[in-house]
Order: sequence, then C-alpha cells, then structure tokens
Amino acid sequence: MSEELLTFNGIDGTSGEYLVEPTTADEFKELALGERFGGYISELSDKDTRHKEFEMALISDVEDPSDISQAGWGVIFPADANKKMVDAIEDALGELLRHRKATAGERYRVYRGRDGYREGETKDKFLVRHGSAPGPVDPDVMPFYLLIVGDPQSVPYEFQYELDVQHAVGRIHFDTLDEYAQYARSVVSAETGLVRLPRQAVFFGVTNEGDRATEYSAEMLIKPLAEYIEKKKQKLDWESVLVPPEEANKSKLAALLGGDQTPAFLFTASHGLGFPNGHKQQAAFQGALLCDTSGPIPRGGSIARDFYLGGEDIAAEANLLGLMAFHFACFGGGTPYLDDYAKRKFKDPKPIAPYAFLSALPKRLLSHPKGGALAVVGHIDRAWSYSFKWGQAGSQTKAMEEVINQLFKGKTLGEAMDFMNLRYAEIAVMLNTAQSESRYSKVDAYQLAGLWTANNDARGFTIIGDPAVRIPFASVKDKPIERTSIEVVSKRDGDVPTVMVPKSMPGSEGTEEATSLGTPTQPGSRVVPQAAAGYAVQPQTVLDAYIAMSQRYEDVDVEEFGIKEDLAEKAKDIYESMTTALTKTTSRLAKFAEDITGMDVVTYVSDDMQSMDYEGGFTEGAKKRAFTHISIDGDTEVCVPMNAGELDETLWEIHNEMVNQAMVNRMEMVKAAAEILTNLMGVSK
Amino acid sequence: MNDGPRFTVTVPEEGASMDALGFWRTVPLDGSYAVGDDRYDTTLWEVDLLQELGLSKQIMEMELERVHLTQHILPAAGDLMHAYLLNEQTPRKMEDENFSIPAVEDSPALAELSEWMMLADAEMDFSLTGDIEEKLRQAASELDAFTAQIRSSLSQMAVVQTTAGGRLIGATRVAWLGNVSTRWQPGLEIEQAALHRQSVEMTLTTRHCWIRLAGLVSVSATRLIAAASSGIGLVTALPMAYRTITQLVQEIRTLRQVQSRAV
Repeated sequence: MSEELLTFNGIDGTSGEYLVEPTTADEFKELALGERFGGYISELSDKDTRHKEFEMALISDVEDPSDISQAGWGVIFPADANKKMVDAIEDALGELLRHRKATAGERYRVYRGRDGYREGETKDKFLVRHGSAPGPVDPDVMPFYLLIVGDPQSVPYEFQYELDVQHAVGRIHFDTLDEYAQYARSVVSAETGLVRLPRQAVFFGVTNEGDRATEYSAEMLIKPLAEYIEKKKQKLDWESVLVPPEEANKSKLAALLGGDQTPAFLFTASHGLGFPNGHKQQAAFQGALLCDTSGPIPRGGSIARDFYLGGEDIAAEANLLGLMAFHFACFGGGTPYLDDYAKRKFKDPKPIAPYAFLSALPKRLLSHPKGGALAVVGHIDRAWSYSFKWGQAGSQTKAMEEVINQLFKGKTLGEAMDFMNLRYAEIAVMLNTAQSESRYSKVDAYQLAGLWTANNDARGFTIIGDPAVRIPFASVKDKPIERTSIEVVSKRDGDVPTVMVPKSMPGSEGTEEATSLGTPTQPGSRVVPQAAAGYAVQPQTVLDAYIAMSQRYEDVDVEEFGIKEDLAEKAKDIYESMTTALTKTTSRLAKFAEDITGMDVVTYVSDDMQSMDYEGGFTEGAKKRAFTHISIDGDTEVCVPMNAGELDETLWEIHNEMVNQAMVNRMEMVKAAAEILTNLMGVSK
Repeated sequence: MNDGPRFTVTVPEEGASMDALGFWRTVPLDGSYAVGDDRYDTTLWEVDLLQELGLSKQIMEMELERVHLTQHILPAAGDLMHAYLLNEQTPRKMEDENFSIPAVEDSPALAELSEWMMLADAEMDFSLTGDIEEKLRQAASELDAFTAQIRSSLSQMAVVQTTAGGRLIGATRVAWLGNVSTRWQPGLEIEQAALHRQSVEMTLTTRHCWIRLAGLVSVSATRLIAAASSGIGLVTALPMAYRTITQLVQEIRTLRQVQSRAV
C-alpha cells in the first residue's frame, strides 16, 4: 500500500496553514468507500458508455450544440423565492433574456414560481416534473443550456452537478439588481460585436516556495496547457502566454483581471484561501487567489492582503468585457455549506460556512460595471491535484485541453465543458466499480483515494455565468476590436438577499452554526439579517414566515373562477397593496424588535398650541416639564415637574397616565407581533 | 401643520368612509396625496369632541370599550372562520371573555362564505352570479381602502390631537418604537387631560387592531385557499377572507349588544 501523502490546494487565510493537511491514502479509503451515488450513478454510467461506445450526440437531433436556436436556452429560479424579487431580477436580466429568447425561439424557457427549482428536489424529479428524463437532451422539452439564477443554498450545488451531466448548466447570483443588469449588458454587448478580442490566452501558475501543491499545479497543469496551445498555434491561431512563476504575483494578476493586460482567456492555478466558518472575511475572501508570497507561505498569522486577490481588488476602472477565466483553486467558484471531508471516518458532515455561497471574485468579475467577464469556471469546495495528476501516469490534462480547444474554436462554454463532464462520468463509474469490488476483495487504498478525490474534483468544476457564452475573439482575418466600457446601466435600486429562500437557510432548521457571515464587500451587498437574540419576537422569523406564506399564495393557481377581468385586475392590485402593507408591517415589527432599547415619555406645556409643527418642530416653543425613561431592563429615570418649589401634582398625574399608556402600547405591540408570527408560522409550515 | 395621512374619529357617525372596524373616518386631503401613500412620516389622528366635558367623556368611554372589545374579538373571529374551514364545531365560548361567538350555522358571514366556496368547488364552467359578484366587488373595494389605511397608519410617527369644542387641549406624538411626547395647554384640568389620554389610547389600540386584522386576513386567505378543493385563488381569497372576518367581528359585536340588553 502506498504511503505517499496526498496533497491539497487551499490555505487558511487566518493562519497560513493548509486547509487540509497532507493525508495518507488509507484515511481516504474509508471516505471513498462511503461515497454514495444513489440512482444518479446509472446516468453517469450511461453518459460514459454512450460516449465511449456510440459517440452519441449531447442533444438529440441537434447537429451543433453551440447553436442556441437548436439547443435551446432556459433560466431556472428557485420556486420558493419571493415573487417580487424574482420579478425584479428578471427585469434586471431583461437584456440577456430577450437576447436569448430571440435566438432560442420556441426553445426558450423560464422556470420560475411553481416551475422553478423546488427545495429538496433532485435533478430527476425536476426533469420528470417538466416532462423530461435522464439521457440525451430533447431541447423541445427542456433546453440544453440552463442558467440557474439563485444562491447555492436555495438551489443546491448538488442539483447543479447532477443537471450538468447532460445539460450545460451555469449559475449566477449577485448581491444587487444593478449587478444582474450589468452582467446581462456585458454578455449582450460581447455577443453583438462591441468587442472582438485578440486571440490570446494567458496561463498564470503560482509556485509558492516549498509548497508541493502549487509546484504540481504550475508544472503539471499550467505549463502543459500553455504548451498545448503553443503546439496548436498553427491550427488554432491563438497566442499562448505563460507567466513565469517569479512574476505570478498579485499586481500581475490584477493587470490580467481587468487591467491593461487582460486577455481573452485566462487560466490560473493557485491556492484559494479558506476561512473558518463564519469568519468576518469569509464572504469577501473565501476562494481569493493566493499569489506569489515572496518566499514560503507565511505561517502563524493572517496572510497579508498583498499576497491574495479577491473580488474587492478588481479596480473600479477595470474592464473585463469578453473575458473567460478558469480558476483552479480551492473555493475559486464557491463554498458549500457542509464539509465533505467531515465524512471521513463517517462522522457527521460539519458546516464550513453559515450557508453555501458563490465566491466574491467571480461575482465581481462578471458584474463589473465597466464591462464584465462572460463566465468563470471555478471550483466548488476544495480542489485537488488529482485534477491533473493521475498517479504514476503523471500530468493528465487532456480534458482541460479539450475544453480550451473547443472554446478557441468558437464553441460555447457549456458545450466545451462537456469534456470535463465526461471525465467526471468516467471517474464516477470507476469509483462505483471499485466500491463494489471492495465488498469482495481487498482494494488499493491509494487507488480508491485517487478515484474519490478525482471524482469530487471533476464534479466540482462549475460555470459561474451563462453556459451559452463563447469567447468573443476576432477572426484571423479581421482586426480585433478592443474593449470599451459598456453603456452605464441605469440605477436599479434593490439588494438581493444572500439566501433567496430564507427557509433554506441552515439556521432555520436549527443548525447552530448558521449565524452571520462577514459582510461581502461589493457595493450594496448585504448579509441576511439576523434575529434579535433573546427577544420574544424574532424579526427575521416574522419576515421569513410572511415570505413563506406569500409563497404559498404563489403556489396557488391564479386562474380564478369565473370572475370578470376588471374585478380580477382590481383584486390583483389589492393583493399587491396588501403585500406592501404586510411587508411594511413586518418590517416595522422587525425594526421594533431590533431597535427596542428603552422608552422615553416626555411632557411639555405650551401657551401656543396652534402653531406646532408635527413633522419637525413638535417641541418648539414648549417647555419640558416632566420626563420618564424606562430602560429595557426596567430601570427608570424620572424628572418630576415642580411649581413654586412644590411638585406639580396635576401635571405629574397627567404625565404618569401617559407613561402607563406608553407601556401598554409597547406591550400590545409585542403581542400583535407575536400573534402575527404565530399565525404566519402556522400557515407557512 | 401636517400634510400627511389623517384620520378623524367621528362619533357616532358611521358610513362607507369608515375604517374596517368602524371607528375612524379617513380624511381626503388636497393635492396629490392619497391614503396609502408611503411618503409621509407622520399620520395625524384627530379626535374632535364636544365642549361639554361630561358628554365627551361618555362618548370616549363608549368608543374605547368598543375598540377594546374589537381587539379581543378579532382572534375569535379568526378562530371561528378557521373552525368553519376545518369543518369543525364552533369553538366553545371563551369563558374569560365577555362576549359570545355565534354558532357556525347561525352566522350569515359563514353562510356567505359557504356559498362562495360551493361555487368555487363546483367543477364546472360557470360565472359568478350577480349578487355574489357584487359582494366580491364590494369586499375588494373595502379591502383596498383598508390596505391603504394600514399603510398610512404605519408611518414613523402617529400624532394624536384632541380638540373639545374646537379648542386643542392636547397633542401627543408617538414614535414607532414607543417614545411618547405630549404637549399640553398650561393649567389643564385633569378631566380634560384624561380625554386626550383616551384619544391616544383609542388611536394606538386601533392601530394594533388594524395590524392584527391585516395579519388575520392574510392567514385566513391562505387557509381558505388550502380548504377549497379548487377554483379559489389568491386574488379572490383575500377579499373573501377580509369580508368574512370583518362581518364576523360585526356579528360578534351585535350578539354582545343583544346579550347586554337582555341582561
């Protein structure tokens, strides 16, 4: 049995230590044996077989999967997402949706509301619900290209992985409506001739001193890929630029990501940073790319900001229009909620983040207001060297070479990525076979560990962005059209929640770890508001309950019985108004519960009662005569009214009556909030 | 003074412009403002009483009793409708309350709801008959007015002012978080001050009732949709729930009046 240690990418941003210590294969044997595919393996096997034996097409009766008019295009929202929010996002994405609809025609679909992804749904159930089934895609039934619009907590990564086996699937989830609109404009601008980029690919591989993981990725991934393009130069006519390891620093990477050296295609390989669950920097920098550290990776403290590049490092004046990027790095694409590694020795999986999320860097790259990247291929969870190093066989980059080859021929990213999916299918089948054999005979731990890591690694490469994009490069004959800024997207006020479907928050199911995540740094972004701990009414829960209840409404068919059109329209208006009223009520109640600290009751007297201004000058010209402050813990401060050296008893009595009234009001408000909460929770279950 | 929403208590006048629970009259304002407009931070609640102190006191006490009773009735009305939708017996009389609730079979509001649901559940092509359609139309208009009122009432500040015989005796500003500032005329008598305090009480209790009613209507509409086997969607369930709940409140109030007289 081999004693060779398995090495992993990924550095803890708070300590400089490896996220996963080099581990023996024996430890991973148990993990590999524990992997469960369920019925899903049959489809992976099917894909593997069809490819090897029959070379069947990805899509039935479609000659060119990159032709959207043949392959179809669709967008999937979480079914339980708030309708108004989905409306707003759809509106913000309008340019892209109209553009795709114009091409896909009858094969254009929007899956939202009851047609959207439903919580807990598997890929199979989703397909069946829409009249489809595993196997080659029938674009008349469901498009080949599917863009998930939603966070990975509301539409899980696992669903994306599964759907991606046969379809071409990408995902976007931004923090603001502006970012959706900017991304849509970038894609449409790139596809309508605003840019025709020089045919240049840059390969950026970091080698941190004394670090085996990056030595491997630089030597066995980046260098072979750069050489492959160089070798194919005659045929592809693309320039390949390999960044020397000593230049693979942050400033160089910034120049390649929006600066004056931004190519059409960028492939990076590096460590990605990871942070402890809920760390204040996790949202902003998990998956940030660790560059050259001018020596060994510093240990024993936080990694200096000069050494890694995250979303907030992409300059405001950057222009990334038309760029397509691959980031081989831990968490380069995103972070799941649960740690797969905790499965080791069959322990319960532990959360590694308060909720699953997309990394800030690709989000920023795609949504840049001056012109964004079209797509980023990034890794979800940790990345392994098994992606490109296959045991004693050494460097194995064929699948990635093919992906790049397809892209440089003008194919869509979704079609090109199928080579990665085929690799995943093949490895998954091998792992499944090894698992079966292990029941009857002794298996090689190293082989199993390799299969397991390779399986997860291959599965984890996902498209952040529209899967139907292709690199807008200039033809050999034509002169390139350099990047220019896209037209400014007019302001669309509105934040999008970090988790679009609150009930899919792990915390809502009683998971203690699901608390706050550091505030992401993109403009306008925000974290999911937290409940006011220890208070009788938790505003987050009230809002959640209301949203859940509203969604139940949305599930009901709006085809009403026999009512006249004008009445139906009026009733719909009322519903909108009611929703606004209830939203306002719940937000007021939330504010009440969040901000409640103490209460002041003040009594003034004034000779001139008629001239007061209720908006701003209520106390102008009035004399303060009595004051009571009641703090949240019951402590009370009072100022009593005196008249000629004696207590003004009349005024004091009047004042005390108002104090009592104020206290009753507060109590009733709490009761009303609790009542609404109880009722809403009751129906939203 | 104030350009924002304005509600005026008009005792004992009642009419179409009254709020859902029959206490306040919405005052239309000049200009582009409409009730339900969310632009204003302050809502003005005016209580205009008579000059005679004793009579004004009687009126206020009567109104306060009515609003407090309604506060207690609202959950009972919701329970009654829920029980009906679950096909359960009438909830038993709440012993601690000073009112009774009608039996399901004795409630005109539930009978009307039943008619609606039967029409909706009938799996056939049909149109609403004139009477039902008219009631639905009326309920929709009332709910429309109510949602506008509640949106206005949720402004940051509620200012309550009490006048007696045209003379302003007190004004109170209540912030959403509960801070209270009151401005009085110097030398005010304690009875006059009590009238204004009652105005504040009535305002705040009304606001609580409205909030509860809004929540109850939403919940009841959802329950209604769930209970109907087909045909009822959101756009009709909300007015139907609103109409049923407000009618049940009225029925319970009436029942109590009858019982009070009997006693």
